[in-house]
Amino acid sequence: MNPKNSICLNLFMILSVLNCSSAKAESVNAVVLEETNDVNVSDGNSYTWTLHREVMINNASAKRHTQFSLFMNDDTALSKFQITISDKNGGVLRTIKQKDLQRTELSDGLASDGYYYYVDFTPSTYPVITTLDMKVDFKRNNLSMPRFNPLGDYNTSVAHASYNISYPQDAGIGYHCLNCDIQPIERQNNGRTLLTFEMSNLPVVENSSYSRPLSQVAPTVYFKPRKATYYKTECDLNSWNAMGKWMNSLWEGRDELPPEAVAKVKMITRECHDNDLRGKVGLLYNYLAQNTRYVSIQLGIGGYQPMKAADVWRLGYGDCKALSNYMKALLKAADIESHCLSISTDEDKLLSDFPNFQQMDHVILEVPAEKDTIWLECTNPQLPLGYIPSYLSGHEALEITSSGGRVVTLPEYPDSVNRRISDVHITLSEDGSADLAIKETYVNHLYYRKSYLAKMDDKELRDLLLKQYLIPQGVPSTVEASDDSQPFSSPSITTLWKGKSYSYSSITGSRLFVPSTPLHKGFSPGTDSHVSDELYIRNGFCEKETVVIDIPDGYEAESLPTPQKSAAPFGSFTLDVRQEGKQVILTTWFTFYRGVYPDGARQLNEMEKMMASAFAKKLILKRNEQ
Amino acid sequence: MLDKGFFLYLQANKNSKTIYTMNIRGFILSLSVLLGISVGKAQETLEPNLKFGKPTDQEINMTVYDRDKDAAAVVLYKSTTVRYEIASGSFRTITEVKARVKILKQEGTEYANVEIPYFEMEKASREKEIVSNVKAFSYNNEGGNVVKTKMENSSVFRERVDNNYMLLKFTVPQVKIGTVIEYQYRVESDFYYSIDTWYAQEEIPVVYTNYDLTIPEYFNFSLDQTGTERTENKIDDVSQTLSFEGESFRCNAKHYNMTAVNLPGLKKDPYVYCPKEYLLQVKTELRSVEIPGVLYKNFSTSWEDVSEQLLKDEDFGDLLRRSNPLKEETARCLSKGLSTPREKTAALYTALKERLSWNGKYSLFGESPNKVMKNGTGSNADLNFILISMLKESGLRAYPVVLSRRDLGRIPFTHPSIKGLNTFVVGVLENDSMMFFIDSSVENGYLDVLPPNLLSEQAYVLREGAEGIWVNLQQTALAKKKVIIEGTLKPDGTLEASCSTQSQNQFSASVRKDFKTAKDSISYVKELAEDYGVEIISYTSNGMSQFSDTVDETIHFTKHFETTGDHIYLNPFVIPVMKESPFKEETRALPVEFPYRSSINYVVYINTPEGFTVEELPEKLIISTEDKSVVCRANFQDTGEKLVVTYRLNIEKPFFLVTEYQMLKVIFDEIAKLNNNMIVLKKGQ
Repeated sequence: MNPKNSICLNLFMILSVLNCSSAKAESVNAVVLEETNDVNVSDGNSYTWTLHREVMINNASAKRHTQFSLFMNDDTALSKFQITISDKNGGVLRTIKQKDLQRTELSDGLASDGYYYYVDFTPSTYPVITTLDMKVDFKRNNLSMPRFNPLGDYNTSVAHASYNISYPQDAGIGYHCLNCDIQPIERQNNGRTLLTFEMSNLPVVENSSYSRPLSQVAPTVYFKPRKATYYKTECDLNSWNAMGKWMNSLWEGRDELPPEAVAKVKMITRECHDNDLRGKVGLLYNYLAQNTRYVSIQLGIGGYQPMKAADVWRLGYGDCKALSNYMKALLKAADIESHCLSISTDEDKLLSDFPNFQQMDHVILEVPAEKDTIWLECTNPQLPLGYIPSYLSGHEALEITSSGGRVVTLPEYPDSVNRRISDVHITLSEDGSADLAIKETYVNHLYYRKSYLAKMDDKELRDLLLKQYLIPQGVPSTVEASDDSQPFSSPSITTLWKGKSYSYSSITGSRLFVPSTPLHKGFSPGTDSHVSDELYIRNGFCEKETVVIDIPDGYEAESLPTPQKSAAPFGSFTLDVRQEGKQVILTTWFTFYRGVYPDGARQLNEMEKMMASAFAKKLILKRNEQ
Repeated sequence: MLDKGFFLYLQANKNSKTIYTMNIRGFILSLSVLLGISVGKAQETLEPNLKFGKPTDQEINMTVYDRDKDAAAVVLYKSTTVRYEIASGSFRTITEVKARVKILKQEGTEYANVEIPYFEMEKASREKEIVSNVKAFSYNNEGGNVVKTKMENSSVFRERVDNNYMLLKFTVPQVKIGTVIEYQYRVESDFYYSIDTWYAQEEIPVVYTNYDLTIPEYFNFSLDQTGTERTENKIDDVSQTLSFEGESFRCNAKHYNMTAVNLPGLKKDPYVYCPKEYLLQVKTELRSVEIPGVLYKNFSTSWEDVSEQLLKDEDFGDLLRRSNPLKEETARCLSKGLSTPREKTAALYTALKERLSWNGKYSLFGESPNKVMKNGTGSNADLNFILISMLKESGLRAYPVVLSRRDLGRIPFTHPSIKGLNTFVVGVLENDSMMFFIDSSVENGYLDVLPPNLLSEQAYVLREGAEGIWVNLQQTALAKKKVIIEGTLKPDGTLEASCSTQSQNQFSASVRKDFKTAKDSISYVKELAEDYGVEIISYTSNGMSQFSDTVDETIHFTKHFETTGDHIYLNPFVIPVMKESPFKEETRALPVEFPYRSSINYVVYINTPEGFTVEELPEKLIISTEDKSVVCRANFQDTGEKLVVTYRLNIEKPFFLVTEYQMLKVIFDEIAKLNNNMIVLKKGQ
């Protein structure tokens, strides 16, 4: 380690102890003391990556730094590897060499041609310093390059890190800084360009359930070759259009179907009117759902090229590319044009001036129409037609056509479409028991989160709802979950629980103590020691609950919950309580809007506390003295 | 059918081995889905169809399985045949599996993905397994015609899992709701001395399954059937032809044929450590080999034999005789003037864990102490061997106590075998009759406070030169919790109080675990406040990071109770004792296994505000199981100035039969109900 860095580091640590409470200091699980990446490009397709990484691990929570894993395939080789684990004074405790690495080809899917090297180690004391030195040769077929992302994890700080990339002046290497703005130092030597990127004293990002994911805040630099050879094809990564053109060349001609498949398509759509685009798409999407299933196969060029449509027709399965391409072929047989889209299931934006393959992880299909283009998730055709699930709605995607790639944006739903409506009716008896009817309807993205309920076994659903609701000694009479989704309208699922709770109210002498709602069992505000300032709401929604409680004869309300109201820029919570004759009616509204709110987290935490105390309130009923 | 649990299983078993050098192979069937009980009566009986390759119209056209209408898929037919042959001068087993499965729901299509692990070392080795003859078909009704689709050979993939194992994967083509699939494969194994456990039952229902096992007279195997369902068995003596170096000869053989029909799918229930052990299954164990004039070998038939074999084993017994690699640390501990075996063991254990860390794995066999010292980490067995050498050097009597982890099933008590064991803990004699236990995987516990997964009811103390002793680790230190709350209630409904909690044994381990799991101490206190429903003013603890059997925690807190004009409504369980019953399911299929025995004692003293009197007090409760293994008492008393609430819950037995479930459910419902009780205080007389 460079002595200068070590001084910086010590100073940094002393300051952090002085400035912060002890609780904050203990949340620095690991410190990246020094990271050096040396990428040496011989041409756009082959390069070596040498990594030196020293990490001080402070406690057992920094698990990520004690687990090494590296994905390899036939195009890569590990030519140097060593991990040294030392105590804080530099005394070597253990050395892990290349021969100590475990190797496995085990994959999640049916087949993959890659394998993993991995090794775990468990320090017996803390802190320890681990030093990783490795060199990986990327020999061919490389479309992407290692990222510069030294932070890598929450509760980790970085003292110093650098990334040196050296390439022939004509090789054309591009880079893009994300969540940071780094000016590299550029040097020219012997016809080669050397760029050096540095990051130092990166602060810890605390893991808070309220704030944005690490990928949206961690400083990262992406690199890419501008041109690459991939399985003997030339891929141009200069523009999204050129990238799309290359992808199209891999896809072209793979959407041919055998005559019997074409005949099947004609048969399925024979009743549809020529102009009935939605009708035809619906029938074929349904055919896809009933006749195919998802199986992951990642072999060779197949990482970017789909299985032929004719093969999917024959086998009845495929991965996201294969199923999208197959659906495209089915549509083509019905004279309907469609385009495949490459998309990310995590990030909504593509970097407009930095096309590369590290930004997308999924493929879907687009059926263009003058009005209301249809977007098809072919990997999960059980989804209602026309609904774009929350991991895709509003995302940018690369449309792949013969004229090249084009960035398109999928529609986003207004927050108000994502709804829950809950109606609860509780009829109390003097003995503490109650008859309950709980009906809840979830719409759109809230539907997506609950759609699994309609697929559950009867017993699973009964057990699940009994656990989810506050229904002590509950015995259900009717438990249902029905998916009421219709094509091209917001999908919805409704659950119904009807039955008896044998001890809903507790009785003491002449009084009944009645929980004000069976919903929100166990609701509690966030308990992070560190409540970030920022609040991130990925999808907004609105919810309305109505709880009607029938007071038994001979009783009257001695105390009712008090109405509540709380509003903030990101949303609001309102509880209204009224009594109408022998009924108490509690109505609750929740509204949350998508967005990033710089000071929202604390406000939400306060609002959650208010909600928790409101949900825990009881109605107190007293028997009339005769 | 296998799933991802397989990988973990291999990891867990890597270090176990048999006297024959390995039992690290094995097919497992893992349970991951939930229980489906058969609802209603079968309206139309599905006749088992024994003709493989010829699904009936009834099988192809069925849309629901009448005995379990929720089933996602059903095994219609399965046959497993195991026989012996001689190849390259050695015996080997040939296992042939044929299965027919009906897919009834979208989720059921996963049964078309089949995985078969097999043993094949990366470096060429003498013993291996070969999977061959893999075939699969699907049958679909398309417009009244049955369409049969054959799986292409290119759909069969093999992946290397690690140095020893391969995984064969295939997926059947044209599978959708309604499809009938058939597949078959053959496994040739050089491990002739070990026959895999046959599982008749699966997580999905099985209409018909058959196990056909033919064992030449040279091998004497014992068969052990467990599970609540039964098989129909035929055992006869047959004559078998074997061929050796081109010449055929006849020998006698034992032929077992077992059939089970209409088995319900068995899914997981909470509060069960090893659901798989309740499946209908047949375990097979080699007792002896006798080839007249060539070889006679008798294998373990008693636990003493098992003990003797282990004590001779180079990776077990030899490690018990190795010298202590932590001599300096041992000497330092002994110089502290500790007197009792417990004090010494605690000091030595702490010294061991300062040098060596547990790698999270359990095993029965160990590595050499030098290698473990070099790595600085090891399995519980690796560290336990070193601990035993430290203890022995300190003049203590320490022994390995072998057992089966609860999540891997009970020890086969009546069928002694090394295969039934998978790890050991350390037993130390306190005096001539009392023993306490420790294991290197203990991170939050103490002596006698082992991770609950190790609290086996049957564990065997191995002693050199003396008979082994059976011990029940469930009988070690009872988990105890004492809670004392003292406070003063104000007229506005605010309670200011302190709560001191003493957690002992398993409860101390669980508090420490919660503390470690929390992001930091502030989060921990915030979580506590949320959980208790109070505002915490101060928190102190004692023993949180010590190696001891007790953690003390004291909080000062306030809690606000509902008031209306002249009433205060006070929940006497100021800090909840049990928010809800853990037993919510209406029915269950498996027994209930508690992690450990426990005893909770809870007392609340509240000074009532001046001018208020108690208007209404909850009724006292005494409830227990018939055998008094679970007893709960609660009492509410008004002394005039003080309210006194006492609560006690004892669980003295960790295991309850499925038939006792309804009784447990009633008791825990009552206890949960208790928690919502209210005391009403009124202003004036």
